[in-house]
Amino acid sequence: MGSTLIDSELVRRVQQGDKAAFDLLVVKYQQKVINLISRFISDHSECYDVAQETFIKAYKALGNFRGDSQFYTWLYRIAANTAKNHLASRGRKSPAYSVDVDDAEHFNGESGLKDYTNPENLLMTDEIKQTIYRAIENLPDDLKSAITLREIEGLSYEEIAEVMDCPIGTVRSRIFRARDAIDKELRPLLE
Amino acid sequence: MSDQNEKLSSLMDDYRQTDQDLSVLDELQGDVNQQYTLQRYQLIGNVMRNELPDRIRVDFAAAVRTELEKEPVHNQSVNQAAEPRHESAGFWSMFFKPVAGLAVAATVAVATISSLQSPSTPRDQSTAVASSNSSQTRIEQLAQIPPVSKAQRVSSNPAKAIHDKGMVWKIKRSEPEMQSKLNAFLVNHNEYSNSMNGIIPQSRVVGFDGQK
Repeated sequence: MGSTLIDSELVRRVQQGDKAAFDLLVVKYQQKVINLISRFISDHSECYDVAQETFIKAYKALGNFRGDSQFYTWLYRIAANTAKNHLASRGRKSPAYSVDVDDAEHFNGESGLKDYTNPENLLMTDEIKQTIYRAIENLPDDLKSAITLREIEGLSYEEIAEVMDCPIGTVRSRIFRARDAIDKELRPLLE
Repeated sequence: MSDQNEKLSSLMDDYRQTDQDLSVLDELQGDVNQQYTLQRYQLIGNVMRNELPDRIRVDFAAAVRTELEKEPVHNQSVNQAAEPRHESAGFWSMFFKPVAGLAVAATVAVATISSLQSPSTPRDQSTAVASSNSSQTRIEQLAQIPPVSKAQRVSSNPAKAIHDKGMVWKIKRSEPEMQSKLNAFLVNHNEYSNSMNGIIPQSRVVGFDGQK
Protein backbone atom coordinates (compact mmCIF):
# COMPACT_ATOMS: atom_id res chain seq x y z
CA MET A 1 0.00 0.00 0.00
CA GLY A 2 3.02 2.23 0.33
CA SER A 3 3.58 4.63 -2.50
CA THR A 4 7.10 4.21 -3.78
CA LEU A 5 7.26 7.35 -5.89
CA ILE A 6 6.74 9.84 -3.12
CA ASP A 7 8.83 7.77 -0.70
CA SER A 8 11.81 7.61 -3.03
CA GLU A 9 11.65 11.34 -3.60
CA LEU A 10 11.40 12.09 0.11
CA VAL A 11 14.23 9.70 0.98
CA ARG A 12 16.41 11.31 -1.66
CA ARG A 13 15.69 14.73 -0.24
CA VAL A 14 16.50 13.65 3.32
CA GLN A 15 19.76 12.10 2.17
CA GLN A 16 20.65 15.39 0.52
CA GLY A 17 20.16 17.29 3.74
CA ASP A 18 16.49 18.20 3.63
CA LYS A 19 15.45 17.25 7.15
CA ALA A 20 11.93 18.59 6.68
CA ALA A 21 11.29 15.90 4.09
CA PHE A 22 11.57 13.32 6.85
CA ASP A 23 8.62 14.97 8.62
CA LEU A 24 6.43 13.90 5.73
CA LEU A 25 7.61 10.33 6.03
CA VAL A 26 6.73 10.46 9.72
CA VAL A 27 3.32 11.92 8.91
CA LYS A 28 2.74 9.28 6.32
CA TYR A 29 3.79 6.19 8.25
CA GLN A 30 3.23 7.08 11.89
CA GLN A 31 -0.06 5.24 12.30
CA LYS A 32 1.16 2.10 10.57
CA VAL A 33 4.34 2.05 12.63
CA ILE A 34 2.42 2.63 15.88
CA ASN A 35 -0.06 -0.03 14.91
CA LEU A 36 2.76 -2.49 14.21
CA ILE A 37 4.49 -1.74 17.50
CA SER A 38 1.20 -2.08 19.38
CA ARG A 39 1.23 -5.74 18.41
CA PHE A 40 4.40 -6.16 20.44
CA ILE A 41 3.73 -3.66 23.20
CA SER A 42 0.30 -3.29 24.73
CA ASP A 43 0.93 -0.16 26.75
CA HIS A 44 0.08 2.75 24.45
CA SER A 45 2.51 5.24 26.04
CA GLU A 46 5.38 2.81 25.64
CA CYS A 47 4.17 2.16 22.16
CA TYR A 48 4.59 5.83 21.24
CA ASP A 49 8.00 5.93 22.89
CA VAL A 50 9.15 3.03 20.78
CA ALA A 51 7.59 4.54 17.67
CA GLN A 52 9.50 7.74 18.24
CA GLU A 53 12.68 5.79 18.77
CA THR A 54 11.97 3.91 15.56
CA PHE A 55 11.73 7.09 13.50
CA ILE A 56 14.86 8.56 15.05
CA LYS A 57 16.78 5.37 14.34
CA ALA A 58 15.44 5.39 10.81
CA TYR A 59 16.52 8.98 10.31
CA LYS A 60 20.02 8.22 11.56
CA ALA A 61 20.30 5.19 9.31
CA LEU A 62 18.75 6.78 6.26
CA GLY A 63 22.13 7.92 4.96
CA ASN A 64 22.98 4.28 4.37
CA PHE A 65 19.63 3.37 2.86
CA ARG A 66 20.29 2.50 -0.78
CA GLY A 67 16.77 1.64 -1.82
CA ASP A 68 17.38 -2.10 -2.15
CA SER A 69 13.99 -2.57 -0.52
CA GLN A 70 10.95 -0.34 -0.26
CA PHE A 71 11.30 2.38 2.34
CA TYR A 72 8.25 1.24 4.28
CA THR A 73 9.44 -2.38 4.55
CA TRP A 74 12.80 -1.09 5.74
CA LEU A 75 11.03 1.15 8.25
CA TYR A 76 8.76 -1.64 9.50
CA ARG A 77 11.79 -3.85 10.04
CA ILE A 78 13.35 -1.16 12.19
CA ALA A 79 10.07 -0.79 14.09
CA ALA A 80 9.76 -4.51 14.76
CA ASN A 81 13.38 -4.80 15.89
CA THR A 82 13.09 -1.73 18.09
CA ALA A 83 9.96 -3.14 19.72
CA LYS A 84 11.62 -6.51 20.32
CA ASN A 85 14.72 -4.85 21.75
CA HIS A 86 12.51 -2.73 23.93
CA LEU A 87 10.78 -5.79 25.31
CA ALA A 88 14.11 -7.52 25.85
CA SER A 89 15.56 -4.53 27.64
CA ARG A 90 12.44 -4.21 29.78
CA GLY A 91 12.94 -7.75 30.92
CA ARG A 92 16.08 -6.56 32.62
CA LYS A 93 14.49 -3.44 34.08
CA SER A 94 12.18 -2.75 36.96
CA PRO A 95 8.46 -2.77 36.14
CA ALA A 96 8.25 0.87 37.18
CA TYR A 97 10.33 1.75 34.13
CA SER A 98 12.54 3.91 36.25
CA VAL A 99 15.84 5.12 34.96
CA ASP A 100 18.81 4.68 37.25
CA VAL A 101 22.43 5.54 36.74
CA ASP A 102 23.15 2.35 34.83
CA ASP A 103 20.25 2.95 32.49
CA ALA A 104 20.99 6.61 31.83
CA GLU A 105 23.57 5.85 29.20
CA HIS A 106 21.21 3.45 27.51
CA PHE A 107 18.46 6.02 27.39
CA ASN A 108 20.77 8.72 26.09
CA GLY A 109 21.39 6.53 23.08
CA GLU A 110 17.68 6.38 22.50
CA SER A 111 17.33 10.11 22.25
CA GLY A 112 15.29 11.25 25.20
CA LEU A 113 11.89 9.61 25.24
CA LYS A 114 8.85 11.79 25.83
CA ASP A 115 5.94 11.14 28.10
CA TYR A 116 2.78 10.41 26.16
CA THR A 117 0.59 9.58 29.13
CA ASN A 118 -1.09 12.96 29.18
CA PRO A 119 -4.74 12.18 28.24
CA GLU A 120 -5.17 15.57 26.61
CA ASN A 121 -2.78 14.50 23.87
CA LEU A 122 -4.52 11.23 23.20
CA LEU A 123 -7.65 10.71 21.18
CA MET A 124 -9.81 7.66 21.36
CA THR A 125 -9.88 6.25 17.90
CA ASP A 126 -13.45 5.02 18.21
CA GLU A 127 -14.77 8.50 17.68
CA ILE A 128 -12.49 9.04 14.72
CA LYS A 129 -13.52 5.74 13.21
CA GLN A 130 -17.23 6.44 13.62
CA THR A 131 -16.83 9.86 12.05
CA ILE A 132 -15.01 8.46 9.06
CA TYR A 133 -17.40 5.54 8.56
CA ARG A 134 -20.36 7.89 8.76
CA ALA A 135 -18.79 10.24 6.22
CA ILE A 136 -18.13 7.34 3.83
CA GLU A 137 -21.74 6.20 4.11
CA ASN A 138 -22.89 9.64 3.07
CA LEU A 139 -20.73 9.71 -0.04
CA PRO A 140 -22.28 9.34 -3.49
CA ASP A 141 -21.88 5.80 -4.81
CA ASP A 142 -19.25 6.65 -7.42
CA LEU A 143 -17.04 8.38 -4.84
CA LYS A 144 -17.60 5.61 -2.29
CA SER A 145 -16.64 2.93 -4.82
CA ALA A 146 -13.54 4.82 -5.93
CA ILE A 147 -12.19 5.40 -2.40
CA THR A 148 -13.02 1.84 -1.36
CA LEU A 149 -11.30 0.31 -4.36
CA ARG A 150 -8.27 2.44 -3.66
CA GLU A 151 -7.92 2.26 0.13
CA ILE A 152 -9.25 -1.21 0.89
CA GLU A 153 -8.62 -3.16 -2.29
CA GLY A 154 -5.40 -1.32 -3.04
CA LEU A 155 -6.07 -0.97 -6.76
CA SER A 156 -4.10 1.46 -8.87
CA TYR A 157 -5.80 4.34 -10.67
CA GLU A 158 -5.54 2.42 -13.94
CA GLU A 159 -7.20 -0.63 -12.44
CA ILE A 160 -9.96 1.45 -10.86
CA ALA A 161 -10.57 3.16 -14.20
CA GLU A 162 -11.02 -0.25 -15.78
CA VAL A 163 -13.32 -1.49 -13.05
CA MET A 164 -15.45 1.65 -13.02
CA ASP A 165 -15.24 2.06 -16.79
CA CYS A 166 -14.19 5.68 -16.68
CA PRO A 167 -11.07 7.75 -17.50
CA ILE A 168 -8.16 7.83 -15.07
CA GLY A 169 -8.67 11.57 -14.59
CA THR A 170 -12.17 10.85 -13.34
CA VAL A 171 -10.81 8.27 -10.91
CA ARG A 172 -8.29 10.78 -9.64
CA SER A 173 -11.01 13.37 -9.18
CA ARG A 174 -13.42 10.97 -7.48
CA ILE A 175 -10.86 9.76 -4.99
CA PHE A 176 -9.87 13.28 -4.13
CA ARG A 177 -13.48 14.41 -3.73
CA ALA A 178 -14.16 11.44 -1.47
CA ARG A 179 -11.16 12.26 0.72
CA ASP A 180 -12.04 15.92 0.78
CA ALA A 181 -15.62 15.17 1.87
CA ILE A 182 -14.47 12.84 4.66
CA ASP A 183 -11.79 15.31 5.69
CA LYS A 184 -14.39 18.03 6.17
CA GLU A 185 -16.02 15.84 8.84
CA LEU A 186 -12.74 14.72 10.36
CA ARG A 187 -10.97 18.06 10.60
CA PRO A 188 -13.00 19.55 13.49
CA LEU A 189 -12.31 16.45 15.52
CA LEU A 190 -8.54 16.76 15.24
CA GLU A 191 -8.14 20.51 15.57
CA MET B 1 -5.65 24.95 -2.49
CA SER B 2 -8.16 22.44 -3.82
CA ASP B 3 -5.94 21.76 -6.82
CA GLN B 4 -2.93 21.31 -4.55
CA ASN B 5 -4.87 18.90 -2.36
CA GLU B 6 -5.92 16.93 -5.42
CA LYS B 7 -2.27 16.64 -6.46
CA LEU B 8 -1.41 15.63 -2.91
CA SER B 9 -4.17 13.03 -2.97
CA SER B 10 -2.94 11.46 -6.20
CA LEU B 11 0.71 11.58 -5.14
CA MET B 12 -0.27 9.69 -2.00
CA ASP B 13 -1.58 7.00 -4.30
CA ASP B 14 1.64 7.00 -6.34
CA TYR B 15 -0.08 8.51 -9.33
CA ARG B 16 1.04 11.68 -11.10
CA GLN B 17 0.18 13.23 -14.39
CA THR B 18 3.32 15.26 -14.89
CA ASP B 19 6.72 15.63 -13.31
CA GLN B 20 5.52 18.97 -12.00
CA ASP B 21 3.21 17.14 -9.63
CA LEU B 22 6.26 16.39 -7.50
CA SER B 23 6.54 20.13 -6.88
CA VAL B 24 3.65 19.74 -4.47
CA LEU B 25 6.19 18.20 -2.09
CA ASP B 26 8.09 21.50 -1.97
CA GLU B 27 4.97 23.33 -0.90
CA LEU B 28 4.03 20.51 1.45
CA GLN B 29 7.33 20.75 3.30
CA GLY B 30 6.84 24.43 3.94
CA ASP B 31 3.14 24.35 4.73
CA VAL B 32 2.07 22.92 8.08
CA ASN B 33 -1.62 23.06 7.09
CA GLN B 34 -0.96 20.86 4.07
CA GLN B 35 0.98 18.45 6.26
CA TYR B 36 -2.05 18.13 8.50
CA THR B 37 -4.14 17.54 5.39
CA LEU B 38 -1.78 14.74 4.37
CA GLN B 39 -1.99 13.34 7.89
CA ARG B 40 -5.79 13.28 7.75
CA TYR B 41 -5.79 11.69 4.29
CA GLN B 42 -3.49 9.01 5.67
CA LEU B 43 -5.73 8.61 8.68
CA ILE B 44 -8.76 7.98 6.47
CA GLY B 45 -6.93 5.15 4.74
CA ASN B 46 -5.68 3.74 8.05
CA VAL B 47 -9.22 3.65 9.43
CA MET B 48 -10.66 2.07 6.29
CA ARG B 49 -8.00 -0.67 6.41
CA ASN B 50 -8.42 -1.01 10.17
CA GLU B 51 -4.79 -0.05 10.77
CA LEU B 52 -5.41 2.43 13.56
CA PRO B 53 -4.20 1.77 17.10
CA ASP B 54 -6.58 2.16 20.05
CA ARG B 55 -5.46 5.67 20.70
CA ILE B 56 -3.74 8.19 18.52
CA ARG B 57 -1.63 11.15 19.34
CA VAL B 58 -2.18 13.94 16.86
CA ASP B 59 1.06 15.75 17.65
CA PHE B 60 3.24 12.68 17.38
CA ALA B 61 4.90 13.90 14.17
CA ALA B 62 5.63 17.25 15.80
CA ALA B 63 7.20 15.47 18.78
CA VAL B 64 9.44 13.44 16.48
CA ARG B 65 10.36 16.59 14.61
CA THR B 66 11.42 18.25 17.87
CA GLU B 67 13.61 15.26 18.73
CA LEU B 68 15.13 15.21 15.28
CA GLU B 69 16.27 18.80 15.64
CA LYS B 70 19.06 17.43 17.85
CA GLU B 71 20.25 15.15 15.09
CA PRO B 72 22.78 16.26 12.50
CA VAL B 73 21.55 16.85 8.99
CA HIS B 74 22.39 14.27 6.35
CA ASN B 75 24.52 16.18 3.96
CA GLN B 76 25.75 15.51 0.48
CA SER B 77 29.30 15.12 1.71
CA VAL B 78 28.26 11.87 3.39
CA ASN B 79 26.71 10.62 0.22
CA GLN B 80 29.41 12.06 -1.94
CA ALA B 81 31.98 10.29 0.19
CA ALA B 82 30.50 7.04 -0.97
CA GLU B 83 29.67 8.03 -4.49
CA PRO B 84 33.15 8.99 -5.70
CA ARG B 85 34.19 5.40 -5.11
CA HIS B 86 31.46 4.37 -7.48
CA GLU B 87 32.36 7.15 -9.87
CA SER B 88 36.04 6.34 -9.58
CA ALA B 89 35.43 2.67 -10.11
CA GLY B 90 33.14 3.55 -12.96
CA PHE B 91 35.79 5.73 -14.52
CA TRP B 92 38.50 3.12 -14.30
CA SER B 93 36.27 0.35 -15.46
CA MET B 94 35.05 2.62 -18.23
CA PHE B 95 38.66 3.38 -19.18
CA PHE B 96 40.24 -0.04 -18.72
CA LYS B 97 37.56 -2.19 -20.21
CA PRO B 98 37.89 -0.76 -23.74
CA VAL B 99 41.71 -0.62 -23.53
CA ALA B 100 41.93 -4.19 -22.28
CA GLY B 101 39.47 -5.25 -24.94
CA LEU B 102 41.49 -3.43 -27.57
CA ALA B 103 44.71 -5.05 -26.38
CA VAL B 104 43.17 -8.51 -26.52
CA ALA B 105 41.70 -7.78 -29.94
CA ALA B 106 45.06 -6.52 -31.22
CA THR B 107 46.87 -9.58 -29.87
CA VAL B 108 44.37 -11.91 -31.47
CA ALA B 109 44.57 -9.98 -34.73
CA VAL B 110 48.39 -10.17 -34.85
CA ALA B 111 48.34 -13.86 -34.00
CA THR B 112 45.69 -14.48 -36.63
CA ILE B 113 47.55 -12.55 -39.33
CA SER B 114 50.81 -14.33 -38.51
CA SER B 115 49.20 -17.75 -38.60
CA LEU B 116 47.34 -17.01 -41.81
CA GLN B 117 50.59 -16.14 -43.59
CA SER B 118 51.09 -19.52 -45.25
CA PRO B 119 54.67 -20.64 -46.07
CA SER B 120 53.44 -21.54 -49.54
CA THR B 121 52.57 -17.91 -50.32
CA PRO B 122 55.84 -16.05 -50.53
CA ARG B 123 55.97 -12.26 -50.36
CA ASP B 124 57.98 -12.17 -53.62
CA GLN B 125 57.11 -15.10 -55.84
CA SER B 126 59.87 -14.49 -58.42
CA THR B 127 62.58 -14.29 -55.78
CA ALA B 128 61.36 -17.44 -54.13
CA VAL B 129 61.25 -19.39 -57.39
CA ALA B 130 64.69 -18.26 -58.42
CA SER B 131 66.08 -19.08 -55.03
CA SER B 132 64.50 -22.50 -55.00
CA ASN B 133 65.86 -23.32 -58.49
CA SER B 134 69.40 -22.30 -57.64
CA SER B 135 69.47 -24.12 -54.37
CA GLN B 136 67.77 -27.31 -55.53
CA THR B 137 71.06 -29.15 -56.05
CA ARG B 138 72.33 -28.21 -52.60
CA ILE B 139 69.17 -29.45 -50.99
CA GLU B 140 69.67 -32.73 -52.79
CA GLN B 141 73.18 -32.87 -51.41
CA LEU B 142 71.82 -32.25 -47.97
CA ALA B 143 69.39 -35.07 -48.38
CA GLN B 144 72.25 -37.47 -49.19
CA ILE B 145 74.00 -36.81 -45.92
CA PRO B 146 73.23 -39.55 -43.42
CA PRO B 147 71.22 -38.12 -40.51
CA VAL B 148 72.72 -37.89 -37.10
CA SER B 149 71.15 -40.52 -34.99
CA LYS B 150 71.14 -38.41 -31.86
CA ALA B 151 71.14 -34.66 -31.74
CA GLN B 152 74.04 -33.15 -29.90
CA ARG B 153 74.28 -29.81 -28.28
CA VAL B 154 76.88 -27.60 -29.84
CA SER B 155 78.27 -26.63 -26.47
CA SER B 156 78.84 -30.28 -25.58
CA ASN B 157 81.48 -30.75 -28.38
CA PRO B 158 83.87 -27.77 -28.42
CA ALA B 159 86.05 -29.29 -31.15
CA LYS B 160 83.30 -28.93 -33.74
CA ALA B 161 81.87 -25.70 -32.43
CA ILE B 162 81.78 -22.54 -34.41
CA HIS B 163 83.84 -20.07 -32.50
CA ASP B 164 82.49 -16.62 -32.27
CA LYS B 165 85.16 -13.95 -32.22
CA GLY B 166 83.35 -10.74 -32.43
CA MET B 167 81.40 -10.64 -35.65
CA VAL B 168 83.66 -13.08 -37.49
CA TRP B 169 82.56 -16.65 -37.97
CA LYS B 170 85.28 -19.10 -38.57
CA ILE B 171 84.32 -22.37 -40.19
CA LYS B 172 86.66 -25.31 -40.09
CA ARG B 173 87.19 -25.72 -43.80
CA SER B 174 89.19 -28.79 -43.21
CA GLU B 175 85.94 -30.64 -42.61
CA PRO B 176 84.11 -30.65 -45.97
CA GLU B 177 81.32 -32.76 -44.63
CA MET B 178 80.55 -30.15 -41.98
CA GLN B 179 80.81 -27.32 -44.50
CA SER B 180 78.53 -29.04 -46.94
CA LYS B 181 76.02 -29.73 -44.21
CA LEU B 182 76.05 -26.13 -42.98
CA ASN B 183 75.72 -24.75 -46.47
CA ALA B 184 72.75 -26.95 -47.11
CA PHE B 185 71.17 -25.71 -43.88
CA LEU B 186 71.80 -22.11 -44.80
CA VAL B 187 70.35 -22.51 -48.27
CA ASN B 188 67.33 -24.19 -46.87
CA HIS B 189 66.85 -21.47 -44.30
CA ASN B 190 67.32 -18.76 -46.88
CA GLU B 191 64.68 -20.24 -49.11
CA TYR B 192 62.27 -20.70 -46.23
CA SER B 193 62.75 -17.18 -44.90
CA ASN B 194 62.12 -15.72 -48.37
CA SER B 195 58.77 -17.39 -48.39
CA MET B 196 57.79 -15.98 -44.95
CA ASN B 197 56.72 -12.39 -44.58
CA GLY B 198 58.29 -10.57 -41.69
CA ILE B 199 61.16 -13.01 -41.10
CA ILE B 200 64.65 -11.72 -41.59
CA PRO B 201 66.71 -14.08 -43.75
CA GLN B 202 69.62 -14.60 -41.39
CA SER B 203 71.26 -17.01 -43.85
CA ARG B 204 72.13 -14.18 -46.25
CA VAL B 205 74.36 -12.56 -43.68
CA VAL B 206 75.86 -15.82 -42.54
CA GLY B 207 76.16 -17.16 -46.04
CA PHE B 208 77.96 -14.03 -47.20
CA ASP B 209 80.37 -14.32 -44.35
CA GLY B 210 80.88 -17.97 -45.04
CA GLN B 211 81.73 -17.37 -48.69
CA LYS B 212 84.53 -15.07 -47.72
